[in-house]
Amino acid sequence: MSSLYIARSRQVAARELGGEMMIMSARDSTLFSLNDVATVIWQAADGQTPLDEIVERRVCAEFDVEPAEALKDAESLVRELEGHGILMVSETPVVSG
Amino acid sequence: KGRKPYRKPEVRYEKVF
Repeated sequence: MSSLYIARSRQVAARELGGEMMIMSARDSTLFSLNDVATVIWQAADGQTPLDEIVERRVCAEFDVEPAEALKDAESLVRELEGHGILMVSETPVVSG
Repeated sequence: KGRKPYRKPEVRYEKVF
């Protein structure tokens, strides 16, 4: 399977509060809240690091989980965030302009 | 040792106004 690259949308304001990320979408005034594992993925979404590498180096290093399970959950999360318009998901590195 | 308990990553959301 090809790698996925993820990048945060520029149309959001995000702040970390108590280990959880609060994200406000300027597009439709929706407030999102990510739990601790989702926050790690969000913070690593630089558009250049493949998702499987983020999972292996960040999620599995910090949380007690097997890479296969973590990757499956991460893919599900990023697709959901993409659907909300706050994360870009691509099969090639995302160039931030 | 040293790793936190894993929770499935999740997002909650609410339309503010």
